[in-house]
Amino acid sequence: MLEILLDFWGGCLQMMTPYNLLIILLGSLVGTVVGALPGLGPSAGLALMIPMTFTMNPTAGLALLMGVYMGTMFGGRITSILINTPGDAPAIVTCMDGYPLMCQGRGGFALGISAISSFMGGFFGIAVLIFMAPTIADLVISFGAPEYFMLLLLGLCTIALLAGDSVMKAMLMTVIGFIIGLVGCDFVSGYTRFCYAPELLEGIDFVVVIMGMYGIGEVLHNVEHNVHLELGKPNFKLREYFPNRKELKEVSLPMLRGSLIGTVIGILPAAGGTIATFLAYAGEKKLAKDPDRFGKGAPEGLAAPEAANNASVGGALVPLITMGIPGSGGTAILLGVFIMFGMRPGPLLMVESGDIVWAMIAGLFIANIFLLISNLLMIPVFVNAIRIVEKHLSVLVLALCCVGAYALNYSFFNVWLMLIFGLFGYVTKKFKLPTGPLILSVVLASSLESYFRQSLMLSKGSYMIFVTRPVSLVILLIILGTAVFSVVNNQIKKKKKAAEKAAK
Amino acid sequence: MITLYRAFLVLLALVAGLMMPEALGLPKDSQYTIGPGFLPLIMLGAIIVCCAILLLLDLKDKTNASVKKESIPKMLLYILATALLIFCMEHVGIVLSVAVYIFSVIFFVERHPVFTAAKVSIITSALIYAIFHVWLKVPMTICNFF
Repeated sequence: MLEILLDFWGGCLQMMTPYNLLIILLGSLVGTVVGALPGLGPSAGLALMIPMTFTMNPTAGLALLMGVYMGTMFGGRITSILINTPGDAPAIVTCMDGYPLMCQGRGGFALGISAISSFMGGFFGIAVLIFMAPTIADLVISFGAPEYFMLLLLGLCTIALLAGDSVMKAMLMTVIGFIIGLVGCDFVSGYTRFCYAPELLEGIDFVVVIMGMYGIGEVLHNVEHNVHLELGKPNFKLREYFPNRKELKEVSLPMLRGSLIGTVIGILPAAGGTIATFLAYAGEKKLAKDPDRFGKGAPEGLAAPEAANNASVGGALVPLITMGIPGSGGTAILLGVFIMFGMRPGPLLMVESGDIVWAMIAGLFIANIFLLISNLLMIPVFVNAIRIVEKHLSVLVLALCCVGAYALNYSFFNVWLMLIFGLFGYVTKKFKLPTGPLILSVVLASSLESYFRQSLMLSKGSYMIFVTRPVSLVILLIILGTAVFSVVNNQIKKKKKAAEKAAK
Repeated sequence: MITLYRAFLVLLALVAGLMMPEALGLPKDSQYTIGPGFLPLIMLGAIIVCCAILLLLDLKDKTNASVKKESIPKMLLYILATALLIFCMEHVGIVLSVAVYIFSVIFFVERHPVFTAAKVSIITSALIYAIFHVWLKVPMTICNFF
C-alpha cells in the first residue's frame, strides 16, 4: 500500500511543473468542448489531439491526453442537460433527468450536481485504478465470452424491464434497436443483412440514431407544443449551482453506487460507460422510494449515471495498463499512443515504464480536479450561451445535428438517416415509447451477437455453457431476479392503482 | 377504431413482416454456432408479437395521442426545410446552405426581424465553419460553385 502511494506521489511530482499543469488544463478545456459537441466523444477528442503530442515528451503528451479523455466525459453532459442532445451514448441517460431539470429552470443546478457527481465518479475510478488494478485484472482475465454475453444481456434486460411504465413497450423498443444494430455486413459469415443501400454495408452508426431520436425528435416535439425553455434568473449566484446539505445527502449514496457500477463495468472490455450509466440509472430507479419522480428531474437519476460514466474512465484504464487490453475506442487510441512513445503495453508496462504510467494516472487525477473547478465556474457561461440563442434554439440544434452527422464520416447518407430517426424519435415520444432501451440495444447488438456466437463455439453448440460456468450462472440468476421483480412490481402497482380508483 | 398509435403499431409489424423474407433466406446456423439469420429472425418475430400484444392491450385501454392541428404546418415546414438543407449541403455547399437555412427558418417561419435572422445565421455559420473545418479538419465546402 505504502509503495503504491509513494509511486503515485512520484507521478504527482512529475506533473507538478507549470508546463504540465497548463497542458492538463488546456486538454481538459478542449475535451469539455469536444465532448459537448453532438457526435463527438472521447475517441474523437483523443484522435484530434494526438498530433499535438508528437513533439512532447511522453509525460506531457499523456498528461494532455488524460485531460482530453476526462474532459470529454465531463463535456458530454452539457448539451444533454441544456438542449437534450447527448454528444455520445453514455450521455443519453443524463437527458432523462437533466433536461427536465433544465425545463424547470434548474439548469444551473443540474449542471452543478452533474459536475460534482462526475468528479466523485472520476475520483472513485482513479482510486480503484491506483489501489486495486492488479487484483481486479486477475479476476477479469478469467471472464470469457459466456460471461460477457450474460453481462451485456443483463444490461439490456435491466433497462428493458425497468425503463418506462410498460415492459412490453420497452421490449418492443429493445428488439427494434437490435434490428437496427444488426443492419450491415456480418463480418463472420460475409452475408449482408437489411442493406437496402450500399452505405448501409458498414452498419448504422449509433451516434446518428442518438442525434436523430434525441436532437431532431425533441425539436419537433418542442415545435409542436411551442415549448420554451425556462432558464431561471439571468444573474444567478454561485451557490445556486451547488446542492444544499439535504440534496447532497440524497445524492451521495446514488453517487457512490454509480461510481462502483461505473468502475466495475469500465474494467470489462466492450462494456464501457454506456452500459454503466444505464445500469446505474436502472438501479437507482429500482431502489428509489418514489420511482415516478425519475424522468421528471430527479437529482439521483442525474447523479448516479454521471458518476458511473466518469468512474468508467479509471476502470477502463485497468485492463489497458495491467494487460494491454483496450476496452473501448478511447483506450484503444491510448494503446496506440503508448506504442508511439516507445512503451510496451502489457503485463510488463508497469515494470518498464512505471514512472510514466504513474505520471499519467496523476495527470488523470489532476485533470479531474481542474474539470470540477472549471465546469462549476463555467455554468453561467453555458446557461447564458443557451439564453442568448433560446429563441432560435430549434433551428440551431437542427443545423448542428446535420453538420454533426455529416462530420461522423463525411457522408450525407448519415444526415438523411438522422432525419428519418428524428421523425421516428418524435413518434416514439408521442406514443410514450421509451428510447433508452432502443439506443442501448443498437449499441450492444453486434457485441452481444458476437459473444453469443463465441460462447456456442466454445461449447460446440450447447446452450448449457451459460449455466455451467459459475459467473455466467450468477448473472443469469440476477437477470431472472430482475424479471421477477419487474413483474411483481408491476402487479403491485396495478393493484394499488385499482385500489385507489375503487376508493375514489 | 383506427388511432394514430394503432396505425403506427400495424405499420411497424408490417415493416417487420416485409423484412422477414430476407431474414428467412439467411443461414440460421453454421456448424457449432448461430448463423447470420438466427437473431434477425427472432427479433423480427418479436417485433410482430410485441406489436400484436400492444394492440390487444390498447383495445382494453386506449392510448390517446394526437398531433396538435395548429402545429402541423409549422412542423411540416421545419421537416421540409431540414430535408432541403440536407439536399443543398450536398449539392450547393455546406456552410452556405446552413447559413441560408438558419436565416430562412428564423425570418420566414419564426417571423423574427431580418436583422436578427441575418446576425444569428452569419455568426452560427462562421462558428460551425471555425469549429468543424478549421479546428476539427472536417472537409467542408462553403459553396460548391466557387
